[in-house]
Amino acid sequence: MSTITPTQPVAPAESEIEVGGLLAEFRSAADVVSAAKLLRRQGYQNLEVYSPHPIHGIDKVLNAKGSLLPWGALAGAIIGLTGGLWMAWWMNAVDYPFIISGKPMFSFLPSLPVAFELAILLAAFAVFGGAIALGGLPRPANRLFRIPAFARATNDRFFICVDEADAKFQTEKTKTLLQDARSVRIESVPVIDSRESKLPRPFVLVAIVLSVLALIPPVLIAKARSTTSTLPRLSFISDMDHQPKFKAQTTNSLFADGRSMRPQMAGTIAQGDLRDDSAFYRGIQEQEAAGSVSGDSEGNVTFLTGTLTANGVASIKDEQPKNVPKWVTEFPVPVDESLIRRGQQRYEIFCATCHGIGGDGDGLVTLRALELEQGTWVKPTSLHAEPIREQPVGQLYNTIANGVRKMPGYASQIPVRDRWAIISYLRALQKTRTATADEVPADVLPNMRELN
Amino acid sequence: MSAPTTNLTAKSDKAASHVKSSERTNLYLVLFTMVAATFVGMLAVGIGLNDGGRQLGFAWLLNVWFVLSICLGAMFFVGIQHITRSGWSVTLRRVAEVTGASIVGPVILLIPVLIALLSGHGNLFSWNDPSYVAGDEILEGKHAFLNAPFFSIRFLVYAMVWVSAGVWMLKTSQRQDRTGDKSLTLKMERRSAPILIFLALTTTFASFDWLMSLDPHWFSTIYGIYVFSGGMTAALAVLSIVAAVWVKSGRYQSLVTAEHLHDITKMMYGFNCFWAYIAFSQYLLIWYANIPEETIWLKHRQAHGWDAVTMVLMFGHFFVPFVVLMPRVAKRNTNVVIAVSSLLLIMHWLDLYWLVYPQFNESPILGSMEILGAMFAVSFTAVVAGWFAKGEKLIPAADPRLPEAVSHHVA
Repeated sequence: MSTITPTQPVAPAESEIEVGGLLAEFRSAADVVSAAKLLRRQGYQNLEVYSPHPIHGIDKVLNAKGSLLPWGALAGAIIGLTGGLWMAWWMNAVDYPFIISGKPMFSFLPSLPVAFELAILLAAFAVFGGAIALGGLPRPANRLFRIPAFARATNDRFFICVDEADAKFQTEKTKTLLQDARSVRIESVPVIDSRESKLPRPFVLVAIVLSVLALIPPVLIAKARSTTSTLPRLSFISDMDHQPKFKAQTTNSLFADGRSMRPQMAGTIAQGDLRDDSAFYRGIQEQEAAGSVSGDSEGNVTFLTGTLTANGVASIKDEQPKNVPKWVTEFPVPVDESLIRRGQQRYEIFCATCHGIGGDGDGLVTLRALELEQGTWVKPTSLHAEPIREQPVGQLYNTIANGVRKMPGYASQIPVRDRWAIISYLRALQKTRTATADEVPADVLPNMRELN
Repeated sequence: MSAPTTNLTAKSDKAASHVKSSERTNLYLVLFTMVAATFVGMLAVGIGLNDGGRQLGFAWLLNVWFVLSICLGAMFFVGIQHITRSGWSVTLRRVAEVTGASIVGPVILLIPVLIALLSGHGNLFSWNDPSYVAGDEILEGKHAFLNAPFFSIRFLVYAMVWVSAGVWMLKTSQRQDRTGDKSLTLKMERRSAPILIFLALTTTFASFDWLMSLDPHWFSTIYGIYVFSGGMTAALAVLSIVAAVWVKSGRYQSLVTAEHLHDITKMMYGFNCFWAYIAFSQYLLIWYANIPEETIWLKHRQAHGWDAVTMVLMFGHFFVPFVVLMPRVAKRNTNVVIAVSSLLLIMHWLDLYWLVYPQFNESPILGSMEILGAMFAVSFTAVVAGWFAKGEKLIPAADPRLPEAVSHHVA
């Protein structure tokens, strides 16, 4: 009726259009499979089938080769396994060897979990990366997406795409063949510009910039590791580094004396700090506790003064200070077998590492230190030496609690009662070297002779 | 849908009647003779040893548990198939159901051990020997749990769970064969959840009771899972052997194909890896903690000739099947599957031997008693399995998911 018709571009003759291939639509999986079979029989090689669901057996029809992906996974797993083992070995036995409890530098078993996890991780990476690479992703342009009907490939239609690169491809002939194979619609696949199938330039630029930026932190770290600096370290979380609280040995303007550590209030004592049993808590006899002992009024003993001789052993005998505390000579706790057994157990935990199980000063730490020959180690005095044997129990107690010479005090590790238990065991240990036959009970004696 | 189903049913009916009754009678005759001969043989060897029946007891326990763990594994398999609504495994499920119900066999075989325990025998379970327990602080502490009456009560509970679950699952599935009632599938699915929970608990505690308490001082909380993983692998080995034989003989042609063989073997492969994982976990934790009361058990198994058994297990149970069955073609090749599955069955036996026998003798002993015991326990259970399968189909022909199994295809 109207004389005005929209101007349509004059379609050039079919043979003149550049055709990238043919896309044929099918209604059912069975149709697409039989069509694929037909084309294969005709000698077509370059076929692609698109389906909304997996079609069992189509890989056989298309003669699709097995995927390379499992091999990638296997390679990833093997690299992860060996790499994990190598990493554990190199870190522990080569790069940073560190003796922990005398264990070997490298051990296979505990390295297996990390190697196993790494095998899984790298296999997963190989599959993830391999699937992307084998799928040709990212692919910003797909020529089939230019055909609107192809959208149903994810819904309810099946498609075969015959590429024009196929040796057997002839537009008209192939079209007839597909029509005979019950195709319901055949479309020409457009040829797309090769530039279109490349990533858009902004994406590439952003990716390049990001990867350059990503190099900055490792470069900074590498620089910091290889140079020295006088600047304070960077503080990323300053409110954790600098907390608004008072610490020990700092000033506090709130108090007149300006100390943040508060001294005990005069005339008070903290719960559990009374410790008025001087013999039990300090190893010093009661009446001597206040006054005559060198030290403060609370009965704390000052360090014995001694001098180091050239061979590193302190000589204390010669320069015994005059105001030696009056050490307790009797145990302030009842000594029975259970106490001695407790003492043995504690001794073997805390003392034997240096003093040795037998008390000869040949503990494992001592042996190791002497082996290293670094000269800083003082071999502990044998606990069977006469000066030690003659020490009153109170002095031994003081040694355990406060240390002597290079031996540190163990007050924080060993409770008061356990210190006495250790001394009771020490006395028994010393007895093993000095006891005579007539001190041994008559019924035990024959057995002991047998042992010899 | 109805047309292909009927067709399939007809096919499986034909297949089920494939075995001629005379063949079946002959098979039964052989099995019965085997049961009787091996039983008499074990008794004769046991009397000849004159050790108070000690070796007989250990061989008995080992071999009954070999079969028992396989039956438990088969029950787990059936439960898992129901609860996951699996279609692919329908054609193999009946074999697993029959194997699961056959747990009646090993349960019966454990009753003599129970009677010996209750009458005060302590040469199998040392915790039942008052003179051994006396003065031992640990065993006296464990006495409240490890004593013959409570042990027997616990076993009755386990046996009740196992037999009722196994027989119920088989009988319900067989009832569906006859009635075609599709609601039974849903019923089995619903009940499988509690059944699996009960199976998991009873398997763990039964392996604590019957195997771990052989060394009453020692304990490992992962032990139950270790026994389960071995039994599950062995049960799947049985299923894959059956599948491979059927594929090879073409007995169920379209019902059991290389696709089913592939998947059942895959599952076996996975559970074998699980076994290795659990075995390694148990070993690593004990090794790393290095506590003498725990390491003593493994130290024994690393010396006195047990080190060789451990190595055979490590390679035979894990590394060899792991490598051989890795390619796709291997899992679809009947001969390879039969060979590896048979190896895994032998290795599962050796695994239990490794668990049980170090408590019997300082170094490995393998003689007529152990072999006769294995033949006895297997043939006895086979008779029970035959009794359950007799006159019934070996494929759940009326299962609503059968078409899914038939069209199963491994991509």
